Amino acid sequence: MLFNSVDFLVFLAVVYSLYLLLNHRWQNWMLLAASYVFYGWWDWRFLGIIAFTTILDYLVSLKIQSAASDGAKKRLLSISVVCNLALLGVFKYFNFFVGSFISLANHLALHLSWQAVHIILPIGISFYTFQSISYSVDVYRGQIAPPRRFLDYALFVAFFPQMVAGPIQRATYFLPQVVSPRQIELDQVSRGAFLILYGLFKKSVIADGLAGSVNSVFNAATGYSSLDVLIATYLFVIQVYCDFSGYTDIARGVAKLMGFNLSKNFKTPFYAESPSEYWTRWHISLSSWVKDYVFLPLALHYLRRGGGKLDEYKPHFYSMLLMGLWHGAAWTYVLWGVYHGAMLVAWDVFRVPRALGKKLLKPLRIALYFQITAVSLLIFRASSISQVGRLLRVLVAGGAARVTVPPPPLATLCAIPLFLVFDFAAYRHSSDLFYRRWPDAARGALVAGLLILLVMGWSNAPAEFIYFQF
Amino acid sequence: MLLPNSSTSNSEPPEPRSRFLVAPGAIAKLGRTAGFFLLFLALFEVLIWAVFTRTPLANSSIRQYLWYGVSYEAKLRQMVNTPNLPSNSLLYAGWLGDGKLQSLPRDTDLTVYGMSFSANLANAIEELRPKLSQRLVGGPGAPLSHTYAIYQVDKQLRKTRFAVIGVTSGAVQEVVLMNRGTLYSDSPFPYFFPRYKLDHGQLTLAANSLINSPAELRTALDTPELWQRQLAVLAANDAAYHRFFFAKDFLDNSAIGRLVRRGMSKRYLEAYSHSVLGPDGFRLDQEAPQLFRTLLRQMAQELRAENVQPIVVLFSLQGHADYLHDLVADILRDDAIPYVDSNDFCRSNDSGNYLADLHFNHQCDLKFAQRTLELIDAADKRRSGGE
Repeated sequence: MLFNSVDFLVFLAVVYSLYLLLNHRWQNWMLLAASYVFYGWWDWRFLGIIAFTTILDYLVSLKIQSAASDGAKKRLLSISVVCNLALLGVFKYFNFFVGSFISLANHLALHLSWQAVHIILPIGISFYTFQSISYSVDVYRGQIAPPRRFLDYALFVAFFPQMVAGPIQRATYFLPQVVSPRQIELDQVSRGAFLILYGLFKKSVIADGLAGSVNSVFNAATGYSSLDVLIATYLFVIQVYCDFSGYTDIARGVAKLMGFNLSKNFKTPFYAESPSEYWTRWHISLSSWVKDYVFLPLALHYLRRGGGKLDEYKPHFYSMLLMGLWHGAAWTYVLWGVYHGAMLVAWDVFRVPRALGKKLLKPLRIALYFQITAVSLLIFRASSISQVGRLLRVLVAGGAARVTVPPPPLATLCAIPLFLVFDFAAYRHSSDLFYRRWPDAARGALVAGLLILLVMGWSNAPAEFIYFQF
Repeated sequence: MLLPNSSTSNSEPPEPRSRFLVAPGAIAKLGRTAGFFLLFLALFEVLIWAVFTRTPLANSSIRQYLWYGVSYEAKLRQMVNTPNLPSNSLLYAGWLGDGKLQSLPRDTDLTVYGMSFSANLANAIEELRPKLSQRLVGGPGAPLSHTYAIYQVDKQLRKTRFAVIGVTSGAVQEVVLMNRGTLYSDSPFPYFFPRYKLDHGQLTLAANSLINSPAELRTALDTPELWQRQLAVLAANDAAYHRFFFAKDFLDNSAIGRLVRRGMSKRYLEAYSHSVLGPDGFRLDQEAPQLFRTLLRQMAQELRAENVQPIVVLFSLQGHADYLHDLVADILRDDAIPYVDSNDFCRSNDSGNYLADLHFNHQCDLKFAQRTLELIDAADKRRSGGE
């Protein structure tokens, strides 16, 4: 059930009506049931996996809480982490790793053959698995106690607005909202409704509208010019941002209608000046997860070991590699992670901030880092490493300034400037709430404009959210 | 470090219903914003009406864009009421009862059945071998049910040695329609065609359209009772027919209403297509793929019965993998029907093989034509060897 479908509108209307009628405990029961219906809509078999994760981590967290020794706690935490990673390994990476091993063996003249096993990838598995792992770690670290009621924990894992594509919630932030009765403020409802409208606008009008233009290059084997690659890459940057942040906005908006607050996932990422700043602006819930549960422990480990400069950079690389692999089982994601790791290290080794600070104005620094981000997203979008090479070769080779990329639909062309202005204003105000200070008439015009463009763009072929595959 | 939350204490938390809090002045503020919102929507309506009826922009492409969501019936009415319509207008294409087939050459080497993909193939064949005489029989975007129906008329009128049956992967879903209007209302192809069904595996004619020529269409649109009867035929037999997209209503008069209809019609098409073509190929439990297979086999058999060699050309639309071939591979093999699979020459996952209008580029058409000619030559050789 996609957020940008009539099915979801009906589903939400029913769920919200019931929600308003029930008391807190029954609200949670109803939301849990609704979340399982929402998830099972794709494939009912997925429900077994999320139920397994939920039960396992809840039981393990109770045991961790009551374990007498640190050693026992550590062993219990290991069970949770290993089981969750094993689930990911089987459902997401099995074919990739075995296939890559066979391929390597064949390169070494060890003639092995293997038939890929058809394993269905449960939608959103990476999101809720990471959310569940972080809960176990937080309980282990004593940062949160397991909730008394299993129901509350099950809802924390499966809460439908964010279950399939985040933002990945931390138990310390979100679980208290599940456990305690919620208040709904009119102001929050109007903000939630705006976020839903704006998210649908970004997804249906911009992201879906750009898909055809982007695919015309990335789905073609040949026949594109360097200008085509450049345009398609820039358009993909906008597409993936609008797709993912659109999903996040809708998720946050739906949650707000019910009195929940989900954490933010984006803060105008394309105004970052450096890799470290970028990762405080793009997919924040994942990058902060990796920082807290992978990077910092690793950095501490290497610091204690007292290694050299190389040791200092290893956590960057490992963290980014994990981020790459988190996205999926493909070498392009590995390369994407390595690329970002390399950028983090390069920025430090070559003291880029200071060098750029002297010579370049802030807009130029932003523009420069944007190009670096765009290349990373070219790698992200490509279907194989060889395609990355091909696209970069065409891009660098230059040649005739011929453009074959088909223009996006009219609604998308009208929407992109509005979106860019909105994003820039959010950057300048350091908040996306700036429009709330506008006069009533201006706000009314903004909402009417978004709605008209949404209705225009509703005819764009609807596609699944890009991040659902992760 | 956070403290354990309240739920871990022994006391049960209170269970109130969610409280709905309204800050002072919030309702008035929201009301004012909503009022301005409605005012701007109304202004948009008035502006669109004024600009696109009272200024030179009335004939612009933007006006056309805002007109797309008008009902199919309104589009047909506009088309038939356009003065001095050129003879190559879509209004005149694809009809079964307009007598146009009689003006085609009667004795040819090759008859090409199908749609625009077939027409492009015919042009490419002519380019490669101008001496091969051809006749082209079909309609724009025509599905196989139309092809089969027009073949029934055509075979009485001509003598030919070879027949190309061009089919596209995108039109498999359309063999259960009687008109493409509900699914593709942006570009109306007014012609109607019969509805075939399967009765215990046997092909049967389920319904004929009441309208079979442009003249009959004009008459029907001017005769409400006749038009309603035609809509009733569609409602009863056309598997995709939906009155909201097809028949005229009040939304035709509103710019926002038209945009809403267009958006919904695109999503309706998407949902309908997914019900026939899944992520792994055509869904054989659906009527359209089953009927498509039967129509193809039946037409090939009938062609052979009149001593015409059928050649099936499978055109895979972009992104449709080789699903069309997968759907009919067993029929082509078992009945030994020669065929050209576009995917063998121009992969459907390579957008470089397609033009912006979704057709194949000319290089691909030439490859298909070359292969078709090879099949013709091989059949000729067999025939002369046999003789």
